[in-house]
Amino acid sequence: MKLNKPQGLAIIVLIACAVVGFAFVSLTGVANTGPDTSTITGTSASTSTSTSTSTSNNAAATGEQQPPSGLPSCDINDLPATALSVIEDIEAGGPFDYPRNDDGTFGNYEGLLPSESNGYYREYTVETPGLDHRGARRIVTGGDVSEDPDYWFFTEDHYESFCDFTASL
Amino acid sequence: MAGTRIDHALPQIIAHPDLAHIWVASSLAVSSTAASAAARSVKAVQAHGWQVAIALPRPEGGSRAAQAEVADALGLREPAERNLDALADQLLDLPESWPGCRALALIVTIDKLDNPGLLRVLSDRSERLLRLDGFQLETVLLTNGTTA
Repeated sequence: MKLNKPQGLAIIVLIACAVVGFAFVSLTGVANTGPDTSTITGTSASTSTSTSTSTSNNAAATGEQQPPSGLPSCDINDLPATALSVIEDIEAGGPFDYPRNDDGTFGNYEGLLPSESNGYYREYTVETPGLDHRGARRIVTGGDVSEDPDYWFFTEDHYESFCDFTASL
Repeated sequence: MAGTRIDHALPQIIAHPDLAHIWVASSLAVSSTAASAAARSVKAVQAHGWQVAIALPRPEGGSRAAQAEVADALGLREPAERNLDALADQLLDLPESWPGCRALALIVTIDKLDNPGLLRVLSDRSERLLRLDGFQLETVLLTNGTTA
């Protein structure tokens, strides 16, 4: 097919616009509007350097403020569904599914959470469906009032790593 | 069947000076191998109604090796062997993981008392188990003559 001069010019302009648009999307990530498939990540004694660096870079890039704990933050909506009922139980002051274990002092023996006085942290079981034991998921809270904690932490690997979240249900 | 007082079963032991539910038997391990000392202690406490878990960490293994042996002896899941918080958490499940047991003696051979973190966890959780569930967990350290 033979094009006349105005048609050729229009095609060149269209191609140029497409190239500029593709470059813009690539640089800004505007097109990434799909669901967030990221997993919950935490920091641990062995991986804290790399994870903290990554978190710091992300926070800097997005302008977010680092949580006071210095731990990576996680969104309450990304926590397992079983965690939400535990949060409700905590805010209600119980009762808890595991009375012997839940609402007890978390010792922070490994020192992964900020150092506080004994009794500041409390721990709660988050059930893992399909297991015949309490599994590895826990919520740890920090504060003087157990029903209204100042800080909330989630671990999915039995205290080997934590993330910090805000419990605004 | 509940156990009697652990120091009635093992009259040679003395209470740890700072930590409740931790006992020290320095004389039992003297002039004998750790395993044979542990075996004699097992018979004595079993005769008094206790169930027994034995941890025989390598003397040169350090505190984490001792923790790993304790976790294994008690049947705890990972990462209790390398994370004290996980170990502390799972100790509270002993009434379920040792069904039918109401008095458990943990016998640990140890060359010296240099593991304050592990001992404090065992002491704290033993107290909580006893208070909340009536479950007796007493730890007997068979030392190689080292004073507490």
